[in-house]
Amino acid sequence: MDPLTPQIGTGSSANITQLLARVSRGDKTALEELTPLVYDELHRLAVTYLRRERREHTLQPTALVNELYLKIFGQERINWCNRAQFFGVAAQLMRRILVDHARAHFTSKRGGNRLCVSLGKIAATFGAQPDTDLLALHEVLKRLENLDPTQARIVVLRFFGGLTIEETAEVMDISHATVEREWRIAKAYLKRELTRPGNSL
Amino acid sequence: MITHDNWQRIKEIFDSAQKLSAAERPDFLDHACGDDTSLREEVEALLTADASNEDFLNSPAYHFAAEILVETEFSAGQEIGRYTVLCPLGFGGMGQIYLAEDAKLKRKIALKFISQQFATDPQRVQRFEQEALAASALNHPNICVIHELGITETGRHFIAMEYIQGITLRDQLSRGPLPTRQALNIAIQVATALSSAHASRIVHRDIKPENLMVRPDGYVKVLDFGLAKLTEILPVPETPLQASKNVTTEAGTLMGTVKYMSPEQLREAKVDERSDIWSLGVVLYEMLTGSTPFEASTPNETIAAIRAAQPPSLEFSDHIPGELRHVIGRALEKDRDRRYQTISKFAADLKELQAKLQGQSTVDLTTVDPLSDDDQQTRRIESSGIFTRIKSQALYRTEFLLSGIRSHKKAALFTGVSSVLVVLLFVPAAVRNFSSLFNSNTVQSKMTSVTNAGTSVCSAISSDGKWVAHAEERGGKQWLVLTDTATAKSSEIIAASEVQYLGISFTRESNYLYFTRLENSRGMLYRLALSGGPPVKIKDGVDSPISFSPQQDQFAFVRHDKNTLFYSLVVSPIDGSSEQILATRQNGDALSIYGPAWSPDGNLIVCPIRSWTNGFKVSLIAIDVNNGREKLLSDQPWFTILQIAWLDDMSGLIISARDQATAPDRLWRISYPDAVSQQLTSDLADYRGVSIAGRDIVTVRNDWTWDLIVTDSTKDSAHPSTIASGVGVPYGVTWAGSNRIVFSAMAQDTLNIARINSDGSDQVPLTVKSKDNYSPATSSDGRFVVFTSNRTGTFDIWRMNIEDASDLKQLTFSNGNFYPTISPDNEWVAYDNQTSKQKSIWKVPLRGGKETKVADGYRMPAFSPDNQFIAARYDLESGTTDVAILYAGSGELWKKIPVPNFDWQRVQWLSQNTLSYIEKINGFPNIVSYDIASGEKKQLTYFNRNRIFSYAWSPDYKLLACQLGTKTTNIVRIKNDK
Repeated sequence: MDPLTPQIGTGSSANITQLLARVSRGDKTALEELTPLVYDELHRLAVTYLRRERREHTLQPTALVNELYLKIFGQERINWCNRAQFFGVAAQLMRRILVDHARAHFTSKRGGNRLCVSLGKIAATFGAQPDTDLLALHEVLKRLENLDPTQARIVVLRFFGGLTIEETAEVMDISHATVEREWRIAKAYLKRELTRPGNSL
Repeated sequence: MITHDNWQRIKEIFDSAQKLSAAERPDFLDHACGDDTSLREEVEALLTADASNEDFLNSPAYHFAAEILVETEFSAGQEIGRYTVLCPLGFGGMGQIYLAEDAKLKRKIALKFISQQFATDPQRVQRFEQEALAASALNHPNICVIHELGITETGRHFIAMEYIQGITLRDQLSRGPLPTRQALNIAIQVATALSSAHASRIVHRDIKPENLMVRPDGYVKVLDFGLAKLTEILPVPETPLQASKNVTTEAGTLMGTVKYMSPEQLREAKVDERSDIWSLGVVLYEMLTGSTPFEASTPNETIAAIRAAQPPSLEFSDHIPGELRHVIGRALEKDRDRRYQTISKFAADLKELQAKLQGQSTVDLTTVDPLSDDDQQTRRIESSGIFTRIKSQALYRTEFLLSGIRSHKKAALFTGVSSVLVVLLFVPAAVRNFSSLFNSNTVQSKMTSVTNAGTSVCSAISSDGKWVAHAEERGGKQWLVLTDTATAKSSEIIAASEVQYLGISFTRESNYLYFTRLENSRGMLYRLALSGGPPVKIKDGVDSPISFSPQQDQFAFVRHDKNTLFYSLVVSPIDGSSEQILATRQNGDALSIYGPAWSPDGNLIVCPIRSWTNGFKVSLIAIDVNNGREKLLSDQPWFTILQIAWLDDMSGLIISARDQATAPDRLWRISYPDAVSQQLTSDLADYRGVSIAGRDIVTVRNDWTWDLIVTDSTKDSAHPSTIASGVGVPYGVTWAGSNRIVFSAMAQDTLNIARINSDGSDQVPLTVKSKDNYSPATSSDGRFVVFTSNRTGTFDIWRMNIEDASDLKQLTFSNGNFYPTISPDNEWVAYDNQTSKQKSIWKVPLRGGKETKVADGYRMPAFSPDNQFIAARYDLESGTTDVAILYAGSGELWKKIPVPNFDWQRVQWLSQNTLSYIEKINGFPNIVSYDIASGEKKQLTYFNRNRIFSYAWSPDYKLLACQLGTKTTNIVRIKNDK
């Protein structure tokens, strides 16, 4: 390799930039490549976030996304992305990371304690279904994506991206009422699918 | 079935239905779905799901993502190669760091996982590895040691490195700028590390506060040598626009280190040593002012400021000396050719400044003293009230000043002895007599470390200063190592085995090494030829290090018969073939098992002795080799004296000794023949052992750090919460009610009592500047704390109010009173008296009154919960390790309990029928319960620290507060310039 040639492609952040552009164009493989690169950053932020949340109980979820993106992509990247792309990618990333994580963990614990992959301990999130787990949610969300891409996107933005109804409406450029309505039905659908007999992993 | 075809219809019906009341819905659905039962089923199922769906997915994934991710990337117990993950330590710029245990070497290490993003280029990884290992191989005490570079099965690169207890300089700076001296101290230590690296052509490239660890004792370690290789900016054409763009991409967003980068680093990849000089200059500036010199709101502006043709004026406050500003100015020259050209020159200027500052104040930098409080920088490290302190000037090893000698005016001299058993008893000892702090006799010395693994036992230096032989210990096994002091190369000369090395001596020509070690409690002397060959057994029954006669035809040692407690000073020809007994002691008096010292003129052997005449003391005696006549060297009483050694010119001895019970073992110089004692070390470390070569002293430095932890005894004790920590040796912890803890630890160089909430909040000192105050015990109503204090010159029991330290009252006046405890009915305070050879238990009313003896022959009393019994230790000298249970009223013996007598711990009650005590299990002290009726024992804790200093059960016996200690012992060499 010629040491005097700028190595734009080898630096990880250059990669991130390119991958991000590809993700926002809907390139799924780019998301896969992007995930490990932001994993550690997310991990570190998660720690900070947890500490702060425990102390102040006030942090907005979007603050974490903002922080993540500031850290990973830099201020200039925010200008480069429009707001919708920005949050959209954030939410997808979060979903990807959590699912990968759950999957890795599930694999390593296969045959072991199923609760390890379950999100049961945060039962409140999933309402009265402590056994529901993230992988199952991921699977039924894929079905919803087929059935109703708009609803699926709302779920991703709301749940994985942490956006409010208003923020989701703004990002998707649709009305609050639509978001509210579609969100409610989507939740009912997901819940219904998740509680269908034989649907657990 | 829901399908694409019917989904829109389902949605519409659902939406309309959910707006209706439950009663209206059936009719509506009848109408809307008509005959399509499948459609109706789906809608109803959705409505049912919706009814209980209020919380479902309402909390965003981030809430638990954090928990999940944090918890499980690597979890406790997970094995990575030979390392077992214990807990996460933090998240550095380059990846996550975990505390782990090396299963093979049984030591704690830090595991740093390199972020994937930095490990994508194998060439970079390789460059990083080369450099990290090269820096680690320097074996410099200020450079964090790397044990291994590895890769996990899943392809994660990791670094296994020395675990450093401490905080990053970044953490420390988050509490504000540092005092000038402390900043200088840290900068000098970093410069010393860099100078060693630069000498091997290794440039750090990423010096910043995040990469500098500050230990509680003030010692600094530089981390992450070579890591910059993973992220270094590759060469780019010299156009400002492009250069700054690249830096922003790489450093500004990912590393956040732009602020410390040199102008040339922002311009090109080829940086040299001078770049580190710049970065250290920035760090020094930040330590002094609290912010970096080129700080701007965006990375690009920062880069512009760093690269600007004209340096911004360095805005220092007035308290920073002009010369220091000048030095920083030279480090921050934009043109590297105008900068300091070598780090050593930078370091030299800093040291000179430090010496100057020191001269101005004429006060000891390393000691805390009643008269020099202002000079002592005791800093709270945690704003949450954690009792951690940094002795800011404790710049040991690299450039340590053994100054501000306290001299004991009266000190005529003498001889004394300590035995292992006495080491930690509380016995009245020398009353401090600080004559002059402003002593002109300041000794300027330099301390360097010979070992840094923290596992050294004892050591000796050859008379030419070229070699240091030392014993090391790990996992209950000890081995002998020979280190070349010039190259720091070490080689194992005796393999590890289950023995204890007592002492090592070189012959003058350094052709032989003699060493004594305990093998199954029997002391054996061996000789090892340094030219090679197996060790030769010379003599058994040698229970101390030996001292050669000046002609090296004989040696002297102490023999200790463990059955008869009979001690003798023995002289033997060099081949061990015969022996002559020069002095003996018995009946509680003893000769030091840390060994005698034969005088350079051959006429005297000096040996410490322990005696009980007129109270306990250890003193130095000189024995005439020709006729065995004994002479006291001085009448100064010591609490313990460990090893002693003559100075070659016979102007005096260097001794490792403790002038009072609660002081660390320090080095002292005792002049000969006038026997004036002069204190050489004044920090909180123990210096155990002395070996002399010319002006150099080699000793074993022992640093204690402690954590006060609280754990739920009904749950897993593996994850206690640490509510306070510090350095030195703490003395006592107790509960005051169910959520307050009272404890004693070193603060301001004396032992002081503080109270703290069990969650670590609200720490309040209860004693300040009143000499030593320790062994707190509380009344069950939470009102009073009783404790031992020597504030009036005698060791007596005192009482005060827990809330505000008011209502202070002296309860005993007989001196030598220790280990107070309050009866459950809050009527009595029981304690022990240790002024005479026969220990005894006494009691006095809590409100004050007459001191009454309870029983003879016991110590460390503890009342049973029903107030009927007192559990006590037998006197250590009694030869039994049993615990006695006495009737509280009569003092008569009810029962003997056979439990090991470990450390100097009192037994505690866990219920009316259960006691708890400390026992070493698998090498670590832990708390064990003992059922009095059945004799059944049960291990209650699973700590893996070197020591449990003290512990206490909460009133409901559910919570355990514990002072846990971690010991680091290293060989240090003290070069005396004078």
